[in-house]
Amino acid sequence: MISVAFENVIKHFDRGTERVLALDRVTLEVPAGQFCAVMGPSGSGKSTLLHLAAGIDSPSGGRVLVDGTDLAELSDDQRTLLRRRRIGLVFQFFNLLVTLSALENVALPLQLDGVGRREAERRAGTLLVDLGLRERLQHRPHQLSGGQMQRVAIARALVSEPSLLLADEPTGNLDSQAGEEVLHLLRATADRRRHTVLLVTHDAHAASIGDRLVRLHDGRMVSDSYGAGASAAG
Amino acid sequence: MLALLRLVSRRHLTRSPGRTLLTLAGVALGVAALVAIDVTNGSSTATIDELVRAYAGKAQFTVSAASGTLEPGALGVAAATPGVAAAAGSLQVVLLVGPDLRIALPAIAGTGDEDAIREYVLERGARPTEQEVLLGGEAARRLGVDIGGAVRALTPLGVRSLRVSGVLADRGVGRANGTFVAVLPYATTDVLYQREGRLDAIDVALAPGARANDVAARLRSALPAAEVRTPEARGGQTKKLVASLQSLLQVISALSLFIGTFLVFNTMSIAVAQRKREFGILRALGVRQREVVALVTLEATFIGLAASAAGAAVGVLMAQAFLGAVNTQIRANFVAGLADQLVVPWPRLVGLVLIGVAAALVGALGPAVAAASAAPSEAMTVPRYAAVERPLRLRLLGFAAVLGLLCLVAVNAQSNAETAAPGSVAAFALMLAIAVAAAPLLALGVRAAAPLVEGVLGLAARLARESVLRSPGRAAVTAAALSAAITMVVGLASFIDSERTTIFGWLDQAVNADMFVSAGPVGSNSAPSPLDPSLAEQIRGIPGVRAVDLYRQVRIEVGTSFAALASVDVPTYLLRGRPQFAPGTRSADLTELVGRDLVFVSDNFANRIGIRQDDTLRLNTPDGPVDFRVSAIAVDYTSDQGLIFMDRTTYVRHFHDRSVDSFAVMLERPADLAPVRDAVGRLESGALFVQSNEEFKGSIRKIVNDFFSTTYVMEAIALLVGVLGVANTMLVAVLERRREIGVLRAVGATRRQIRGTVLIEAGTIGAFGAALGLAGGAGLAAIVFLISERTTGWVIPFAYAWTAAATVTVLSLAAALAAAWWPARRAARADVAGALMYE
Repeated sequence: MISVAFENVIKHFDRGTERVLALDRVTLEVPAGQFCAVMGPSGSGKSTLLHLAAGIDSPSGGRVLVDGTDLAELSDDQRTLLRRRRIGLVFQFFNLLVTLSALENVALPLQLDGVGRREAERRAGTLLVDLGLRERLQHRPHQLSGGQMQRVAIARALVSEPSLLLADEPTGNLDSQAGEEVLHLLRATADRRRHTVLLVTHDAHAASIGDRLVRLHDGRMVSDSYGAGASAAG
Repeated sequence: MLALLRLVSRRHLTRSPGRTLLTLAGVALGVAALVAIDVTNGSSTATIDELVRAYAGKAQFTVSAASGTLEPGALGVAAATPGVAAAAGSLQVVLLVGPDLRIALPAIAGTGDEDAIREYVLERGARPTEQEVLLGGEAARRLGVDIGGAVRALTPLGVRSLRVSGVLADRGVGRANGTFVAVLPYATTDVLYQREGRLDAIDVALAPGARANDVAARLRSALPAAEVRTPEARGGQTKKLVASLQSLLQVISALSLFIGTFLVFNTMSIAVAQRKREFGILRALGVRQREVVALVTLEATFIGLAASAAGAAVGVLMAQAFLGAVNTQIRANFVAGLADQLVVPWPRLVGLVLIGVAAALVGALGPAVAAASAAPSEAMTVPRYAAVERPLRLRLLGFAAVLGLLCLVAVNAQSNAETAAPGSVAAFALMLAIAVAAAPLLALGVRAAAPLVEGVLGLAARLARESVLRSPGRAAVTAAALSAAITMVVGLASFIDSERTTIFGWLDQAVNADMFVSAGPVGSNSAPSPLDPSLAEQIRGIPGVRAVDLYRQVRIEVGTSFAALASVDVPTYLLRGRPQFAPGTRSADLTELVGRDLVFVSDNFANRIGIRQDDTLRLNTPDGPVDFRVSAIAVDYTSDQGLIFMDRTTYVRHFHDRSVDSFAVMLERPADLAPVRDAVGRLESGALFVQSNEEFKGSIRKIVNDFFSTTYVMEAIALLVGVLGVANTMLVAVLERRREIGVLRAVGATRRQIRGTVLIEAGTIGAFGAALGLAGGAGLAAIVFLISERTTGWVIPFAYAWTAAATVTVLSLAAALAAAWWPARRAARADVAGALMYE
């Protein structure tokens, strides 16, 4: 289990001559094992916050610490290895590789880490079966439903047994039933594996599954509350 | 439409100048390759045409001897023939001029009804009288003389100083040979060249109302040893001589046409395919299908025009560089003093530019129509989770088989043809067959090699395979362009290496005199500026000289083509060596040639004419046809037209020509070389050209190598074109996979792994292109060997150029990887967060 901390983080993007402030002095600490939901409307900076935690983007100011280590002090390769071994990522649009089967997509992070193909696919297969995709192992993404694709994506995020799971609008592209299944899966997995979760969403229902709810608006943290369900509705 | 062009197209082109430049460079290089060969070949033949036309003036017929010169009195006979209004005779000679008397200046000396036939327009000065010369504009400029100045010239009677009487305007005779021409007075020339009234040609104008065919028949009847032809037919004969020399260039030209258009097609199709999404958005915004297609058509036309025009300019510059090497060959063998005059055939040039534009249009329209006809929503969302096609396109193999069949038919036709045209078609069909078969073969090859490659290179190879299979067409088009280049390199290298090894081996064996004395070096011209045979006595008198052979070579018509007729003093010739008899023929005692009507002929002559040992060969002499028995057939690479060899006494007896082209000197001891050389150098006021055995062979080797060097430039362009294709393809592949690369990075792929995937993909394309090219090279070599055999008669032993094949394989693989390096780096450094947001 690892913690994530944002210390006075600023992030801006230059769009031509204009400078857009995506995050404005955000300070947030997510302790190890906590399921933290970040909620806010489009453009509030929640996806940016997630990208910073994954080390695929860097802050314009302040520090992002994963398990106490400032990501800015790591090289690109070190950040990549951190992501590969300790962080799992789930996206709104699944981001599966279209040319690979479900099994191959899930085995990918292991293979990138040097695990042999057979072993990687064995572990990926076990996970997919656990997630109810026994019949879909050799299917390519276009042969899967949205909910199935997101379950494959979650399996891919979990296959390296990460300590931190980052989920970006995981239900944003699913119908309500599939969305409900995915939320249930994320919560159940977090409870079972006891990893830290940072989930960003604009959906109050999705946000309600967290232990803690942080609200962002125009790049600023506007609220921070604990207790499942109650505060998300408000 | 113009608004779209301004808003969409211009922005697209300026947004990524690197890619735009790559596209432009691809199109331009393709057109440059086409233009360079076409203009080079065209310039040589146009200059020959112009020379013949300018000399013949208003004549309807030219009367010339089948060999050597026309008998004295022929002009009178021609002029008196009914139906002939005017007849003008000419001596067409070469003056060796310049500071060291090594520049060959073609000159004409006319007699008879000159002004009725030829047009002499003076820019300044007057027509030449005794010991004077009238110069063309370029001749006056290059020699730096004007009226009243003197031109020193080496003639068969030694060095003479000729006063410049005037300068010709750029019209009529003055226009010949790019105005690098001279006019001499007839009487002076007749003496200097020891012609004693014998003319080279008589140009005839017909009387009003005379029937051309009747007059020609009368002339043939009155002058039975002469040929009567239109000036165009005579020019055609000369061009036919050059054609076999140009056959290799013609094949290269056909291949350049293929590679050039292919590259233009490839470049444009990739550039347009990449914009599928952009077209989808335009369609969603209300732009109609035909407007998208029209937009692409306009864009491709502009790009095609701009790049083709630039390519044409580059091609003309390249032609200027090639022309020297090609014309040196022509000067050495056929047309002395031929000017390196670049003749740009503007209508053809426009045609070649239009081919470039057409290829750009064809390349762009296919993907554009596909993009425009797709539903806008599909075009905009395609990258996501649509089914990924991995087509095998096996039907293309059937089409390739048809092209292979066409290739075989053309090869069969080449077996019975004397020109390179069927062979060029065969080469073109072969390349096209390879290109068409490339996509299915690539898909099959990648699948077959997958277990091995992925076993060694792991996941990166797996991802690269998927990327290749996802668009095998694009990868195959690139591989095919590369394979076309390698086919060209390996095919030509096999031919050139074999030919060079054979010729140089023969040269070492056949050229065995210690020293050669001539009027000028090979290539500038030696043959058409003969020397006085009495020089032989002077050379024999030099201490250290053991023997002197007298060599004379002229052109002779045999049947419908030409051959070289050489004469030597056979007993002296046998002192220095013996010919190598052709395989399958009997050796002969060559001393039996002395003074008798016997000849030996080269193997290529025998092959072309279909003559065998002991057959009778009928040759036209100034005295009429004479039958010679073919005593032997020898391996000889003197002339691609073939060589007939006879004893000097026989030659002089039948052809009344005592001139000598060169003296082959044999020494008592090798140590005598320097002193003998000095002594020969002092003869004829120091105007003679002396070469040692090694220098002479070196000069021949240089001419051969220079000629082949033009092919190296073309090969280099072809390779560059192929490599540009790889760079373009990989760049597009990386751009298209931006999101996928972002995902890989997000789930833990390092930059090195991303780079590896892109490089393996490029390496796969490079390796596949090389494999196809190596096989195609063997096929092309076989075709070029066949063309050579049919156009020259030489049967050169086939040897596959393994060294060139290995070199070009390593080079193209390295180049493919180098070309992919920047796209790979770009992929590895991509902004991951940005790529994940990218839709």
